[in-house]
This record gives sequence, C-alpha cells and structure tokens, in this order.
Amino acid sequence: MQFAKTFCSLILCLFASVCSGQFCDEVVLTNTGQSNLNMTFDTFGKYLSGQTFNGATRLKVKVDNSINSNPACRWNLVVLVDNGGGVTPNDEWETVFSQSLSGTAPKIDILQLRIKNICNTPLVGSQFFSVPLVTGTPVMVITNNGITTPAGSCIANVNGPGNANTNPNEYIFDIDYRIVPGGSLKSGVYELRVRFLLTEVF
Amino acid sequence: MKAKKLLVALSFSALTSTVAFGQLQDQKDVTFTMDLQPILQLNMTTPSQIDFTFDDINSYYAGITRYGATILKVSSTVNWDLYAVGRSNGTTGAGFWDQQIRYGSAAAGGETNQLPLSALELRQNTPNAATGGTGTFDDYSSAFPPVAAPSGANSLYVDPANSNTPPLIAHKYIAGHRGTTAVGTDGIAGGSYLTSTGLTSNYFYSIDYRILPGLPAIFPMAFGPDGTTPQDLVSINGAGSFAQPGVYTMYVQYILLEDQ
Repeated sequence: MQFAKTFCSLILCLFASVCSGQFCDEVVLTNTGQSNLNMTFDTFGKYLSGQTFNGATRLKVKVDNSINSNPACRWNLVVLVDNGGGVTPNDEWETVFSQSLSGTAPKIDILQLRIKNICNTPLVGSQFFSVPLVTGTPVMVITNNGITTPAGSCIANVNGPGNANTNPNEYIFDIDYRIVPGGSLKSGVYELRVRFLLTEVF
Repeated sequence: MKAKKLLVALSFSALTSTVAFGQLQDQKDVTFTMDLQPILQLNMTTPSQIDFTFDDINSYYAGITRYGATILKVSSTVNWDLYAVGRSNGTTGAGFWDQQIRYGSAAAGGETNQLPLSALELRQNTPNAATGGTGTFDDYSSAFPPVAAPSGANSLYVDPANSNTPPLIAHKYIAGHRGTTAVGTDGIAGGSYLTSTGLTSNYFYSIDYRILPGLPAIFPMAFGPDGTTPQDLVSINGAGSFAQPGVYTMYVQYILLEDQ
C-alpha cells in the first residue's frame, strides 16, 4: 500500500509536470514575404558591393493564450541555417552546380541578416549580422530570459502573448538580407535555407 | 486490486498528457539560391599597331624599345592566369612573322623571310606573383638583356602548336602558372585593379616591347618557349643566315583565363 502511494505521487508529479509544459494555446509564425530568394551575381560591381534585399521576409507572430490564460505563456524566436547536410561542410553553402576549376565554395557567413520591427524588440539589434554555422549557436531574435515581457511594452524582448493584428510594432519582424561574395569563389549555383523557429518556452 | 486499477489509470492519463501537451512550435523557411557567374575582364590600353622601323645601324645594333606600350588591367571573380602568346597568319610558315612586302627583287644568299615570332621581347613591370613555375624564366619581369649577352628571359612565348594553348608550367606567364595547386603557387586570387591599387598591383601590368635585330639581323634574343633554346636565324638556318629586308607583321594575344 505504501508503494502504491509513492507511485501515485510520482505519477501525479509527472502529470503535473507535463501539464505545466504547455502554457500557451497556440503559436503561429507566418511569412508574408518571399520564401525563395534568387541572387545572381553577374557583374564585378555586384561581387564587390554585394546585393541587399530589404524587407524580403516579413514574419508575423501570433501567440494565443486566451483559453489557458496562463501568465507563464511566453515564446522565443530563433534563426537557424540548413545547408542540406550530407557531404556539404557545415560552414559552406550547398553546391547545386559548379563548373569552376579552382577557388573555394562560398561560406555560410557571407549571408547577412538584419531583423527589425518598429519597437526594435529583436535582441540582435538593427545591424547586419552573419548567419550562424549549421552547428553553431543559433541566433536568438527573441530570447528566453525567464521573464515574460508583455505585449504593448514596446521594449526589447517582448515575449508575452500577442499577435501582429493588435501589436504590429512588436509582433511583425521585417528581415533584410545581404550577400557580399568577394573574390576567389568557385562560380556556380549554391543553395542555403534560413529557418525561423517560433517556440513556446517554459 | 483497486490500487492497481488506479495505477493503470494514472499511467495512461500521464501518457496521454505527454502526447497532448507537447511544446508548441512553428517554423518558416526561406531558401536562397545564389548564382555566382564567373567574371573575367581584361582591359587593355594599347595602340592598335606598334611600329618598329629599322632604318639605321644603331636601331639594328641596339634594337628599338617601346616602353609602356600596353597597359593590362584585370578584374576577376575567380582565380586566374594571364599569359601572352605570339601569333601570325602563318603566310611564311607556322611560328614566323608574316611578310607583307619584300624589299629588293632578288634574294641574296642566306636571306630568309622566316623570322621567329619569339624575336619580340616583352617586359612586365610587376613580377608574376605565382611562384610555382619550374622553368628558367617564369615571367617577363627581367630587364631586357644587353646586346652582348643574348638571353631568352624576355622572348615572347609562342605555342609550339601554333595556336594559343596555355604555356606549360616551365614556360612564361605574366601572372599565374599552369595547375590549380594553390593561389600564389600557380594562380592569382580573384580581385580587381579597381580595389587593388599601388605600383605593384597584381591586377595591373605595364608592358614594354623590344625588337633587337642585331647586325647581321639574326634576332639573337629569339628563344623557344623554355627560354633556353636559341631560335635566332643562325641557330635555325645555319651560319650566314640573316633577315630578308621587308615589312613583317605579327600580333600578340593576351589571354586571361580561370586558373587551370
């Protein structure tokens, strides 16, 4: 009987723990910008100065908490990179086609991002930064610092429930991209995926 | 028994909870396709025709030099090689200047109109930065040799196949060499004269030309692609040979290509 009581307690604890693993009702990330971007470098000027695509991606965050109404509902937004893996080194773009005899494949970090919104809530600031390596530390656009910063605060790291309709200045992220290839790269066609991950955090 | 049922129920409930209450997540991907097209640009500033008129003894003895007659400027997004090759239409034979007109009516003994294309000498202002050459002369950066000491240090490369095939690793390049071992060994890194400035830029070359007929006119500075095999008229045709007076033409091709 004593064993049964202990076991019940453990199960209840586990049950409570798992239940407490979901504080939000729903998290939705929408991209109203382009999901495919083609960059062609066909003049020497483009190689030297690079190409910039301003506002190519617009992310809208929706984190709903109307049913649970749990004050611990918060989220983070992370940038990851995927180069297809396999034989591709983790610091290079995936080669689709290359006819070059010499030179090096382009490195992942030639792709730069700038993430911003009206309230400037992204922790990465408003400057361009290189994307992380495939195995590197992900870039935390909105980080989990253990504190819920509610919508409407219009300060850094707003991570409470909210959405782009009611708080567009905090829940819409405009993303600019820039690539400066430089010289000595193998000519060819290369591919890389940037992944934006919205996650409920505990 | 009752306790066992309770345990089963609670276990099932916990399992269900685990499935139902996973961490909420959503993601969006943006795919980048980058097309890096190779760009090789060779800008050349030069007169359309460079004349060498030998009409006095001094010009035969000392030759005629045209300083800075050609300026070469390179822009490339890939590693590259640059070389010069002597060409002609081959009207007097492959590997020889084209004779446009002959002065005089009767050929004297020993006269020949087959003047080797390698009689033209080049000098580049900046040495070849690629150090992997295996020949006696890796480039055209040596000073023009004195008349008294004939040398192939500056004689123009001529493709033995009478085409514009890239020189071998033992032959002269203006920049780079044959092979793709490494930048600095047999290739020059991509870049441009626009951003790599200075007097010794690897993307900017000033080319001097010299023709030294000698007296008699045997063109003692003519050497084969290796720079050591004499191609002067005596070495090729035997003692007593000399150039037939006339007007001759040839051309120099400058070829910029991806490191190969």
